[in-house]
Amino acid sequence: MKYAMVIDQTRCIGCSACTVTCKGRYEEASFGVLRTRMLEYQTGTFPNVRLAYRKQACMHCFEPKCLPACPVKAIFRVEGSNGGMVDIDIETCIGCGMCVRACPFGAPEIDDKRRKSEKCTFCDKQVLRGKTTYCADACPVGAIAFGERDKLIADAQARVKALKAAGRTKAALFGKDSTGVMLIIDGDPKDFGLPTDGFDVSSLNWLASPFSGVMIAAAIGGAGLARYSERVKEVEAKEGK
Amino acid sequence: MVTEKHTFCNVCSANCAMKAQIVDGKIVAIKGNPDDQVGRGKLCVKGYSAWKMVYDPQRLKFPMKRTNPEKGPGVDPGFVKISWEEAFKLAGDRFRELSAKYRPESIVVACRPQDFAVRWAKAMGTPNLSRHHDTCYTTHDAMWRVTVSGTARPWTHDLENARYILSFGWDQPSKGKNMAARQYVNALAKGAKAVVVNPLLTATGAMANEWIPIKPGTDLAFILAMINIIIEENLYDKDYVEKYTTGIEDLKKAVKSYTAEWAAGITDVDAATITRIAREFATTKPAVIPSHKRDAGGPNYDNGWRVAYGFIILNALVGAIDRPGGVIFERNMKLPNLDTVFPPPEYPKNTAGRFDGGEKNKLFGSTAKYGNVVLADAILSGKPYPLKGLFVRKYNVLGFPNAPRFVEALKKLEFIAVADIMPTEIVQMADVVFPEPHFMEVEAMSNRTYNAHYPQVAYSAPVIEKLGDYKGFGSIVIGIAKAMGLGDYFPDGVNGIRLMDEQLKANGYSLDQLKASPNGLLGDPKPFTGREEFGTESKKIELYSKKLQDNGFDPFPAWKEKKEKPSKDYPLYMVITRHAAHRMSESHNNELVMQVAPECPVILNTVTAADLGIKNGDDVWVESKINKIKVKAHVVPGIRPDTVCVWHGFGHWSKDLPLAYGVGGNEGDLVYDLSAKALADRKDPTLSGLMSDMCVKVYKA
Amino acid sequence: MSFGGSCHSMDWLTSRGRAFLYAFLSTSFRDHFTLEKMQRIMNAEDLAILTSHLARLDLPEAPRVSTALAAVTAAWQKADAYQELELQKAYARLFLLPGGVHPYESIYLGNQNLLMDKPWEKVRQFYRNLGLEKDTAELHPEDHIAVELGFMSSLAYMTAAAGKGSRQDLLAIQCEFLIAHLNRWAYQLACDIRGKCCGEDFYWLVSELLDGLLTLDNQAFGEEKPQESNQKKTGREKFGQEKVKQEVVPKGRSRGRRRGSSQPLPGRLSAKDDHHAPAAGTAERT
Repeated sequence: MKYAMVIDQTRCIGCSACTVTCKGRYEEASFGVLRTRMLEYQTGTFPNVRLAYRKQACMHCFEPKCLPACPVKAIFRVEGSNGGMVDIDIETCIGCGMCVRACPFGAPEIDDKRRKSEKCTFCDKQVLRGKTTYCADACPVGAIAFGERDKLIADAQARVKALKAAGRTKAALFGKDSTGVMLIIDGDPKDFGLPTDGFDVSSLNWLASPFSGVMIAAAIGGAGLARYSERVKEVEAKEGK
Repeated sequence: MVTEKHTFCNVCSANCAMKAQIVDGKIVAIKGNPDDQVGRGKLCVKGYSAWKMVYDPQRLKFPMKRTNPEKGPGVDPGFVKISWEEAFKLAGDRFRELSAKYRPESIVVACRPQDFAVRWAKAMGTPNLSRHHDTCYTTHDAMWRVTVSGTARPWTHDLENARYILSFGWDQPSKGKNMAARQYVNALAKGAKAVVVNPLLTATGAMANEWIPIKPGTDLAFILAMINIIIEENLYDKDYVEKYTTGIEDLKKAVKSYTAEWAAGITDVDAATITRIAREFATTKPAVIPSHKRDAGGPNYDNGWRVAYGFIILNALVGAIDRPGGVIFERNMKLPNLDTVFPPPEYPKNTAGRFDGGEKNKLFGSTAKYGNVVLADAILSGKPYPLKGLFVRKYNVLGFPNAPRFVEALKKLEFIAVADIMPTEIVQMADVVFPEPHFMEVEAMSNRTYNAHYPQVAYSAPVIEKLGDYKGFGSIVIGIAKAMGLGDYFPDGVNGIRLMDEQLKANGYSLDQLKASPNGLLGDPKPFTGREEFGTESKKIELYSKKLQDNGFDPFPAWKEKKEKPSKDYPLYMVITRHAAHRMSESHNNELVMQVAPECPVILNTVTAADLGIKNGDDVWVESKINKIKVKAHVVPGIRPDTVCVWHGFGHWSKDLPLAYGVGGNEGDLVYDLSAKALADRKDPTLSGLMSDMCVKVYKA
Repeated sequence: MSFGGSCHSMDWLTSRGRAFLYAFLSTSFRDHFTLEKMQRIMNAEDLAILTSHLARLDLPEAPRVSTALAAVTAAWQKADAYQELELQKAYARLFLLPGGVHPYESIYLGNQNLLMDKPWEKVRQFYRNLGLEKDTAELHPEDHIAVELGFMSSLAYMTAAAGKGSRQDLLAIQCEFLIAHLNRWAYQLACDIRGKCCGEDFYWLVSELLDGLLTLDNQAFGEEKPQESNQKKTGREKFGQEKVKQEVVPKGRSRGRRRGSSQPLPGRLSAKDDHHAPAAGTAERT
């Protein structure tokens, strides 16, 4: 079974029930460090204004930019999820922030206190035990659908069709071919701070090589640097480099 | 091992049933109860985060007394821990002294309606129950009472079956209200049309087919024009109006002059739009104007009660009152009250009127669902008589209009007793503090009101053991009453648990049965049948109210402007909203909530902000004629350029709320309170406040 | 197994004075100051024994504890009704109202600033491994400083009363509790309390005493970590056996038991005054 989530931003009321539920369940991270956040977007000029929300969290990309960017190989695809889920091995993570810089969706966040990267894990431990994700379970308006990917895509496409028929011509399913978490949006992806579907983030590709010296060292900053180089040495040693 | 216990959320009065997951005596999560007709297995963001408050180290832990007689913001109360006996004795002695020295009516009991508190007040002989409804929804409650129900307002909407939803400031979905949001979103997905009339763009308006940014406080003109058009064009539901209403002919004459063109000049909405919406509303069935609290018909503006009446009239004209897809009276259990179950000894007679003169209102006065708007002035002016003692439960200082003046009033009182969970601002002013348990720690029962399509009660087990030396509110009231020598009113065996049992027995159930219910609920779904009769003398909905007329009020919602309009000094309208995750001020110290909504901004239009040289995120002052508050600017296009909107209720000065202390400002500081005379002069049959009827200026801090 | 090299250390660890000191601190944090209570628990004889023991003790921290104890004693002895009220206000401000400190391990070591967080679970599990549950009359949670100190005090009294054979196990438990719990947060708590009052305040002195006692105990237990395995494998069983053997004397009937005789094992854990302060002995003497 290929798991997926579809977040229907046209149903979303921006209430943050998903955020508090997620944070209540995954409480290791420090105050204010969240795996899923609610972003508000307003576009246009008064009185022709569009307001929409976006649940900002890991999209579980098929080709995650964070994965090759991680210098200590802490990020991995979850076995048994058929490529749909991306998780972080928190023990290995050194909190260097490379994934944050690599992610085109702004999903991971560094927990400075723990020096760890925090991001949505697709509730992988839940899901692989046959349960639903916490956010999908919590959403009071049913804006988060969790389940088998093909079925979800079929439902989402029907929903998009209905929205279009009701005059919302810009309605679209984002991430159909590229992410484990898809979004139904009514508007241009850029209005939601999203890269274009099938995003190409070549400008970020330099991050894909984790050992490229000075720029990265500068990016990580003082405190993380020592731990970073230590970890890199460890990993290198382990891999027999 | 995870065990589940049934409880219900007590963050708001919807009481969505929930299941608390407990691991070894500790709550690890809460979920909705799928068998509950209110929550349908879900909770809102406030409910999902409520349990963190249980474990808030800031909670009050023990009864305390004040040792520093000086009171006020920044003054250390010098609290000392005391025993419950000492706390009861202290409060009992002081209230008895004040009652003897100044007469019983010098004591005010300020709390939400609660049987034990009402009995205690009556036993003391004070008529002064002060309540928050005049800042919240009295307009709706009183107008429904007078023109439709004879009792109270309905709380249920069948939005899911509506085809046309017209909102005048009704904004429940954006505030995350579980049942309203779910129904609204589902209705839209099923193809219903929604039109949202609101100066501010929120999720409700964003999801609607149309957002109409009306000029604040002018909804009444829009509504009157709609009534006129619907009647003139014979678009109203003839069968319904004929069978279930009175006064259509009088109303027709009364609204004749209110044309769409006239309304356009007032509302800033063009006549064609008003006409079109009137026609759509009357011809798309079922259509409904939902309403909750502080929408355009709430106690916001001088014409609030007229708008509330307008909602009733429009809903009646399209046959939406107590019909599928419309506004529905809750089908719930009829629970006998405390005095019916346990008849009290005779109460002492006291001919003194209330401090706000509310009892003179023959339409609504007897409900006592008002008072907070006038309380500060009554204390400070000493009129009609001196007020000396106050008992407050969970009403915070910040919730009162003109909060700084209310603080001044509190300083003048001789004795203040407070029952609360958190060390809020009102606790800082208290002489004695009674700590209450969190709702997760007590046994309780909820009769459904919001979304009650059939009688169903929910049970709340004590989910965890009490974390501190707490007593339930009933026990607190009884303890003080006994210490005052009023024990005869509360003999042994008169308590909340037995009351629940008797109330259920009157409905053919029992508390044991409720406790044993596998899903924590009692009551089975029943098919809906609409009412044939209503609670007025005519048994009909009164579109033109003789009763209002006989009591000296306009018999229909004749046009009246809001009180204050933009001026050179205060050029901007102000409206109020809040984040979905907050519930007034009580969530402001919640660990989870403060991570998603840590600030209370003032929302400004992009153009207005540019004119004022204000950028997104700037600190700005918002100033009304009476006070100013410092908040962050949130600059967006989705608000009228002549209007600003402040999030409700921040601005805590209690240092004992570390997460909330010093964050943002309290918009209540800007709101005017009223004197009893000013209230009477307003000729408002609903005795309500003016919670947004002022203008402000905004400038960089 | 050994706890450091000095016989002075072992003297200290098995002394009633040490147990008394833990009990006193537990009581001080558990509830606010009353003259009546102080008079009841701070009896001259206990104090004299403790003071002379500290004076003879060959550990670097001993003089500091002596000084702090003397200061605390002096402070309460000169306290009058006015100061009693001032101290009660200070207690509420420091420990009951949020402007003060939150004397819970959960707040200090958890990451959420909430009660009953993971550290609380661990403390509770520690007690449970020994077959102990918190007394229902105890209003503070298991990780409140008063309860943790009360636990140490109970064990210390038992150690003082126990024969040589069972001392080792009891001390192993205390050492482990110190390392796993108190050492990790109580120093910071003491520091925070001192930060919120000035040098002459009663609670400043009490937290100084707390800091001193913990340091002293750590010195007594020595640099060397005791072998944890002993406690884990056998400590629990031994403890449990003892519990069976011990006659649990109800509070009311414990009066008149001889001082120095073995204390009843607190099957219910409580930081209540009566548990720790040698109320029985006092009653007999007067």
